[in-house]
Amino acid sequence: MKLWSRWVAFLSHREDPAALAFARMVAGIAIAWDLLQMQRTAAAAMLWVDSAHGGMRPMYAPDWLVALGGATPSNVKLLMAIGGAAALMTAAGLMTRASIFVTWLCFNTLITMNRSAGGSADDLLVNGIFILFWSGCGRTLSIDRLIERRKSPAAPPPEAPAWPRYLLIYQLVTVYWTTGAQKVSNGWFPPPLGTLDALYYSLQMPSWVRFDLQPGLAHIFRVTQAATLFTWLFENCGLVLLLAFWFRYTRERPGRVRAFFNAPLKRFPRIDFRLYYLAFGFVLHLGIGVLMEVGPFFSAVMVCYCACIAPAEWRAAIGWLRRRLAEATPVPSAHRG
Amino acid sequence: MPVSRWWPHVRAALVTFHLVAISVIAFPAPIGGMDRSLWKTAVVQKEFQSWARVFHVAPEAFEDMLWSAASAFMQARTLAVRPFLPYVAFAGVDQPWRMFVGADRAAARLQLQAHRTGAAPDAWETLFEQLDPAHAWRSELFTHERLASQIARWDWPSYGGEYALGCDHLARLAFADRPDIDRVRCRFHRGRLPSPDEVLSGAAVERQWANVRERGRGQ
Repeated sequence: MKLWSRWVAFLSHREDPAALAFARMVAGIAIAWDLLQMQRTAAAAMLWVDSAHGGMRPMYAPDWLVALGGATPSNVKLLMAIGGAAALMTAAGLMTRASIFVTWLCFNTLITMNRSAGGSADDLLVNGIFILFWSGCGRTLSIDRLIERRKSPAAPPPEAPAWPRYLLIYQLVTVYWTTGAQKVSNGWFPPPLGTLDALYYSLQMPSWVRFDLQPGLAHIFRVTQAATLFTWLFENCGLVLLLAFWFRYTRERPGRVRAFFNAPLKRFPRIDFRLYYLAFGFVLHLGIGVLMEVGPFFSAVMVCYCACIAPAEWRAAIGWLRRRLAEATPVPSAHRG
Repeated sequence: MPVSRWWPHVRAALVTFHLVAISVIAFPAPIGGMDRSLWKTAVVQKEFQSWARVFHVAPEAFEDMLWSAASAFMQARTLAVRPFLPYVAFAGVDQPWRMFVGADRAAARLQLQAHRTGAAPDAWETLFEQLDPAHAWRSELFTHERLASQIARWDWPSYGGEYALGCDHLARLAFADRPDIDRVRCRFHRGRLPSPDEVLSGAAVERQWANVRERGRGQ
């Protein structure tokens, strides 16, 4: 019972919703951009329109869409237009909760009509916006907040429940450790168990790479082996990220392991294990995004990354950026001296 | 009882349900891999041989043992995930994180060709070939991740139906773009991907055309 009470208390924390607001912006822009690309490349007409109306294959349209005529070209276009507009409103924080709901409804309907045309990026984005819907992420850095401040200038600083941010962190940890645990090909394992050539061969897969990387790839085979090992370790250490969050949350307690996680490098005492892990992940996903066409996976992961940065850290970053911008803005001569 | 007393408990129960649901659904499992015909493909057989060598067992015995274990695990998983499936389907919180499980050492390249009306029967013009900038008809469509994820599977035995539908659709697009053609064919250039040594020494790697599908105008 004591454990349950502590769990309830933990999930009842409230905080500045800045981290969730950034997650909201990334999710909204990613979905709007993805829908725009589907329309621009004519992929939507092939992959989301039912074969009875000129598409590639029969679609699994939900009952409410069937009642409206099914996955016809006009219905698909309408869903994409409404979903795209709602996603932009989500990013801007305009009628945020309603916008997120419409984005979720349109995007989830489109991607579930043809599950074989899509990938993990879709699922991660839907997971993200589903959590954001319940979060109160529109209470700051949003048009909704501007309107509220205009109506009542003395409005108190925004607050939102912290549990949606915790869920996004857990979602990221789940993505990493389960994908790492399922990399069972011996190409991912170091000798003597394997050959560490998974990335070398993955970077030759014609459906995924953006351009032919040979013969350059063969020249840097050892580099691809090192990248294979670090990718495999990074993903399989996903649960360690959860541990790092726990040590950060309880940083006042004693213990050498906790102290290490909160400052792995003595020279940088303010940088904890979580930030090193996320920095490595950022570079990894950016590299994948540059070399391979994996859809909006980079943006989808960044939705969760936004949640991994504490609201105070976001505010500090915003403050730093504002100061830099103020310094860079030239002062008119009449105001000098 | 005021709302402020019971709501935190209800909220904690709902959040816990979500956490348990996504954990159970995400737990590593050979979803989509329980097809013995897929296990017999060259790529998968090579994996079995590699792991069988590590464990000093015969590849056939290793494969049979894995099949039994995986079958039993999947039966248990089916029971474990059942209570959560309606929620996962409704909310869209599926957890399919089986990404780049293994490197496909024999990835095939899709090629799309067209035959001009009146040309010699075997005179084919290449419209599109993956990773070939010289043949890039509708390249934006082909390089879109959603279509690419389908093409990556089309050459697998269990995706023959998807491949047929895809080739038919691409043929319709080609016929619409090119009134001068009467036939379209899709095929895969299949073979082992070259090792670093083979690339650096310039050694030729044997590849062949496979999985050929041909469509005529009006078919």
